[in-house]
Amino acid sequence: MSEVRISVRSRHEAGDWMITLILLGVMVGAYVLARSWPGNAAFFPQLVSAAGAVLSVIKVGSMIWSDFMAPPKTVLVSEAAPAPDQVEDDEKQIAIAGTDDDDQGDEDELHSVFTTSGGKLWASAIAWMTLFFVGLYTFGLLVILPVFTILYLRFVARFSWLMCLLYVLGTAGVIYALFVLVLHLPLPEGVFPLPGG
Amino acid sequence: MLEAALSGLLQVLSPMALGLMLIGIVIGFIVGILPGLGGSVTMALMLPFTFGMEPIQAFAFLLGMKVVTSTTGDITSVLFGIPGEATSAAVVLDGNPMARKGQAGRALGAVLMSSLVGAVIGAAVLAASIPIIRPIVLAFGPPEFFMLTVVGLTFIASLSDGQVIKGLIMATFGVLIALVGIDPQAGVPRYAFGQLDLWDGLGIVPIVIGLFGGPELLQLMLSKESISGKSSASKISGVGQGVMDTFRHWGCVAKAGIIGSGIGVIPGVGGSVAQFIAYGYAKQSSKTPEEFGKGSIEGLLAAAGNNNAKDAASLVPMIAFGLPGSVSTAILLNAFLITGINPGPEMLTTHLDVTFSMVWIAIIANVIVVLAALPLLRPLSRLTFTEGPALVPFLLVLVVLGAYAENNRLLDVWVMLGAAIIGVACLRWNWPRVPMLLGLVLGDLCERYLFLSTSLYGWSWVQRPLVLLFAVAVVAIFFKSAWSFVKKRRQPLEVRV
Repeated sequence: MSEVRISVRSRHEAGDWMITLILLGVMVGAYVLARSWPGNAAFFPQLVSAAGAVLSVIKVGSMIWSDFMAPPKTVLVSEAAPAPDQVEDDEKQIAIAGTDDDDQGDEDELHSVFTTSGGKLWASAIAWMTLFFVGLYTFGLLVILPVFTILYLRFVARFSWLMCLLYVLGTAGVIYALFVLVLHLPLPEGVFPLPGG
Repeated sequence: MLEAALSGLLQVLSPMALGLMLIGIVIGFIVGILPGLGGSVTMALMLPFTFGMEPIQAFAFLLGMKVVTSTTGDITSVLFGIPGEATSAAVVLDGNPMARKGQAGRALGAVLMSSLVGAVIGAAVLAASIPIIRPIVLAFGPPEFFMLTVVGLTFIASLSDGQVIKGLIMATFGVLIALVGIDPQAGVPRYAFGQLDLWDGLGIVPIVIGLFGGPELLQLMLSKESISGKSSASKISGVGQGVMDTFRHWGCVAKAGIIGSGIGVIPGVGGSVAQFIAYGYAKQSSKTPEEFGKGSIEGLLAAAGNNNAKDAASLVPMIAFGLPGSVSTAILLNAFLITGINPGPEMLTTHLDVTFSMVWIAIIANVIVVLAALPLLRPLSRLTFTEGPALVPFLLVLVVLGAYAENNRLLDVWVMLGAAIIGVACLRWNWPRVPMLLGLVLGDLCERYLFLSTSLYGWSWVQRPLVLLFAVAVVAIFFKSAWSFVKKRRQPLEVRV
């Protein structure tokens, strides 16, 4: 199997930049806030936030270096790998083992689902989550749980109405029996709780 | 001593004590599976029922319940990636990847058996330490506790999956989150932004559930596949293989058990710390550290094996000194008082049989739960082959209740949601999550013990023998991590597509 040498320049994704800069901002903000506290209360937060800020600056520096200034890396590509121009075009799919580029870690299953899912799927998942959590805040768990369960199972999981009903009775029923009847523990209530609840 | 041990065993095996233990085990099993509703909450709720019980009956009931919640808390960690307890977080790291590979049965078998072995190790430590415990516990002061937290933080490098700078940044972020709330030294609210709810700080449980469970849930919604994806349903069994794995990797389980016991004996450090030290140590000493986090059986055994060992050993300071090292041991201390027993020297003389009964309860309860759970593992494993959308409403309720149940406040649900967003971002852009959790768990302890050490001893505490011993351990761990890093960098470049 023949091998060819190619030059690649890895670029960090926008999200990576965003996370690093947000964390840098958090560290600086935490340090500034801690300056107004008495010495004993401020010492440790200042120590930690200063260390975090320095590390974040180092990270930003290494990202600038590897994205814009460092010479491209020469790597050996086996015959099975794609042509060099393909590699240059699709850097996200390349993982370079044994380099100091810490952003080319192993893609696990979750990572690949998050990177490959299309905008429509993301929009749908976020819409369902929003429905649930807005409902939870507004009406409480005992109202939103059956509503969300029936809608989600019916329209996403394609369950029959009967199965949806049985599922709701199973989950909501067990939770109500265990938390309210047996353990006498409260369940999350919304700003408009159930009448008489 | 043998007489007391035998007497303790016979009293535990009496019909009344055994019956109460079984009731406790059933309650603990159900509660342990539900994330967030941990052993401490249930023990607190069940405490009033111990009025009128004999001491050993009360301990059989409460302790039986407690040890079972630790074991069953690992089940949701493996199946759904949602930790049943804060102390089950490390089990998610390798248990859930195994479930995604279709090896849920094997993972559950390994978790159960290693928990049992861990419990036996912890109980053995409890029994063996009875004559010598006082000098050991007294040798630990704030400086030693502080150094122990530093040892824990040293594992950040090895738990960062080769992304050391990112790991360190996430760890400092975790420490800052741990500092939210009223400062214990000056009484100043820190990072609370005028919100009274934040004065109590942010709970570990909602963050753990969000960080690990949130991405799992979203992944099911996005992929619409089962947890085990396209893995073959023929691998649904494997429980026996998991059980055998515990004995095949007995050294790993034994080390995890010893670490759990060692940390459990020290009051105030807690199981959340023990799991990561055991996991980090197992990774460093493994021949295949690159498999950790991707479904390594050694990682799973180390995470599960230390938990019950820690629980049994955490009884030691409570029995010997009346010092509760955790919320659950504080509740158990109440049971001591309710049943008219004073912890302390009496427990090592007059009430030695009661002390030994606790050793037996820890072992017997775990044996019962393993025997009871084994037939359930196959049907439980089938859940990982259920279509993703069918599980979404059920898991959504689990994560919400898990976050809410500890303090009964809605703020924790929003904290869980925030942690879930962080967890998804970490996975999407390859930022390690575990160092953040480690910082969160250790940050508060680290500050507290550093402050106490300097207040009590100035800076002379750095010369204490145990502190120096821990410092040597820190340096050794650091150099081992650095050496692994250098070795990895020396490997030739290759491209994988």
